[in-house]
Amino acid sequence: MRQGTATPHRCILVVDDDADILEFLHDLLEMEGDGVTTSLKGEALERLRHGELPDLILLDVFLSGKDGRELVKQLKSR
Amino acid sequence: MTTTSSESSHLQERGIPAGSHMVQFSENDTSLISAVSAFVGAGLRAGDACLVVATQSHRESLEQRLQAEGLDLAAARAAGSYVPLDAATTLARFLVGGEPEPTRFRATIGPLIEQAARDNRHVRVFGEMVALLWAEGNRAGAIGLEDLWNEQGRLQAFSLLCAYPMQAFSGHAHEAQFVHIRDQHSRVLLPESYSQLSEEERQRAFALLQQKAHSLEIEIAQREAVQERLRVLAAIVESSDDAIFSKDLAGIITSWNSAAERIYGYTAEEMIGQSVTRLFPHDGQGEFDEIMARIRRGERVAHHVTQRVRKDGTLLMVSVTISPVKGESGAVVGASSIARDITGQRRLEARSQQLFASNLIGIFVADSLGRLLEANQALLDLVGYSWEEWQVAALTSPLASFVLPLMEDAGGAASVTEPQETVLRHKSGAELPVLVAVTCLEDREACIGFVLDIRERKALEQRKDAFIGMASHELKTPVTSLKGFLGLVQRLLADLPDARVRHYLTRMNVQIDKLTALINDLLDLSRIQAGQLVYRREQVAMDDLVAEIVESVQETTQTHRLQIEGRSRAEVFGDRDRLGQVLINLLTNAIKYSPGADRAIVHLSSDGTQVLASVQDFGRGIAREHHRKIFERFYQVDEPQEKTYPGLGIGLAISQEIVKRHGGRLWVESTKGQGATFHVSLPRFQRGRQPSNGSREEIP
Repeated sequence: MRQGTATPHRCILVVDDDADILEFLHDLLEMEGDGVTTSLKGEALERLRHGELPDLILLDVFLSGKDGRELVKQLKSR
Repeated sequence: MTTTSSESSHLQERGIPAGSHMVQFSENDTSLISAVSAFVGAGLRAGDACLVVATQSHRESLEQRLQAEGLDLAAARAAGSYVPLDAATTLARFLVGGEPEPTRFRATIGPLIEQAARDNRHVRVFGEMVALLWAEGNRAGAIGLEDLWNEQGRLQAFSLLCAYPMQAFSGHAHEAQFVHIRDQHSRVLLPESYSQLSEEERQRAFALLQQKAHSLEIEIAQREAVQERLRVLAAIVESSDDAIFSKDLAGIITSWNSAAERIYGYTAEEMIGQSVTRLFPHDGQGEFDEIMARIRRGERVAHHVTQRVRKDGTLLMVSVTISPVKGESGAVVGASSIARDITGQRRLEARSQQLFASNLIGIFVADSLGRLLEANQALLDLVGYSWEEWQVAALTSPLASFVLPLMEDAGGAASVTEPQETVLRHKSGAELPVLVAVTCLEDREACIGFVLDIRERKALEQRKDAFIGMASHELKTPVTSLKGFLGLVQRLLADLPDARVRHYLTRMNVQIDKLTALINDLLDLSRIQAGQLVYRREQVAMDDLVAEIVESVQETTQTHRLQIEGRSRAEVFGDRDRLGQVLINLLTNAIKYSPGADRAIVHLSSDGTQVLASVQDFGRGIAREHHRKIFERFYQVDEPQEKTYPGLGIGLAISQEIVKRHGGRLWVESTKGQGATFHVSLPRFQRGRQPSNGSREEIP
């Protein structure tokens, strides 16, 4: 895992089912200078399965309809 | 007695030492005269002086006998070596009020012996005065006189022979006196029938006599003990709560205790001499005949439950045990009855039966192995079985598997378990949530279980759980967004020259934190009520935890200085965050409720089993009547003169729950006007031992 603010193009995926939270987390992380992808209700994860992985995923545990921990398990099993 | 030879030789052959005091127990006058003539004759022949204090008839018989043996009594009398005296006359000289008077005795007897002993003669005395007193029934006088003779023997040298007729000691009452008289004499001469025996045989015979005396003493003691036992038994019978009475073989009452009077209403006077059938109902003759037939055969009729009629005509239920009473020959002579009034007991049993049949609650009875013996209709309905099916299924039914652990639980000090939730399987296979409590009967041979259907409650709880889950999410999400955006605004406006904007934003942030805390408290409370509060189990170093919490709370206050005093140097076992939450609550309360003070103190200590953290404030304190209630939900001290404080009044309720679940205790000490101290006591964690932290279930 790369570290520190010196590297400008880290990619962080934020997953939450609340749009407001996604928005402020997105803005906060952008202020810090990171590349942020946000995704509602884990849709992004579906896309991730076919594409490349980000450097970091911020995942809400309580996603309506899906348990965050289950998603992590699925990801790790790959 | 046909011969006196052995007795004579006995008295003659043995040199009689001066000062010896012999007693002769004789069977009749003839044997007495034989013994005395041998004693006196031997003395006269040996040149001794002989004093004979006897009745006239005994003196005459003695003198005839001695003269027949060739002794010249006239010469002896002239020489002062034979001195006959009348026993009654001599006795009268020193008897005062029926008692021998010592001074007079010495004045009477002393000179006589002194006179007889002149020329260095040995003196022999035969005395019958003691026997006279004894014959008159003056036992004390006789024994007193014996003592005086013994005393005299210490002043003057003479040999004394006393005589008692054996018959005087017949009967048990005199055994002790016999032993006393025997012991007062240095030698005992036995009746002639014994004296014909050889020395060895005599000794044996006497030993037998002593044994007899001893065994009689024992028998007396035993009789007294038996009488004492009888008195005790009589007292027991009288004080018994059960009716106890006896009757002969015809059924006629011979004794009747006071409980019988109370239970049946008849006095002893009314019943003794009457037939016991008076107590029987009209159709009771057959029962009576049957009982008496068994009694005659020597059988016991035990715990016979039957009906009897009181004097006032009312019926009662009794449990009666009738035992045959045997006479000395071993034949049955009557019967004893012990009857207990079980009318009340039966009524209670009937009531219990009604309770059992109740259809409100499922009831079962299980034996000590957890096997189900009985179940009421309500329980059968609940699980969907018929009684017949139940009996078959009982051994394998899932019902059986939960009974045993519950019974073991109930085996403790309290014989009733806390109601526990469990799941039964309906005949159809469906799961039935139930609440079960078990009560073990005395000696734990059987247990009664109560089963409550809680399906509805469970469904309600599930809805509530779902609500809490949803509310948690719905309430917290907007607050989180709010705080997030506020953080962004604060960053963007950090360089704004107007300090007021930054100040306002900071204030907003503080309020959002308070809102978050309130929401968290409410959610905690809901979770506690739903039993959903989750606890981690880990070792927690108390001193570190307190230091950390004090530091973080200190950051939020400028008014109070938070101090730590003492160290516990101990660990507890539980949830670090939850325990921290308790300390935060206590510290923020301490600050909140002591606005005029400038400090609060956390005291730490521990002993072998407990760790104590006490938070002391210097506020206005809490009146005693509120000490318990402040731990209730939504309770706040409300006093008109005082400033009211904002808050939901649930912080202490949550803290209390958390501490309880750690097996600890939270309480307050305070006097109005003198600050308050909240104590948290927690079980100390001891390495290598399973901590008992009181949390019975762990909900992951």
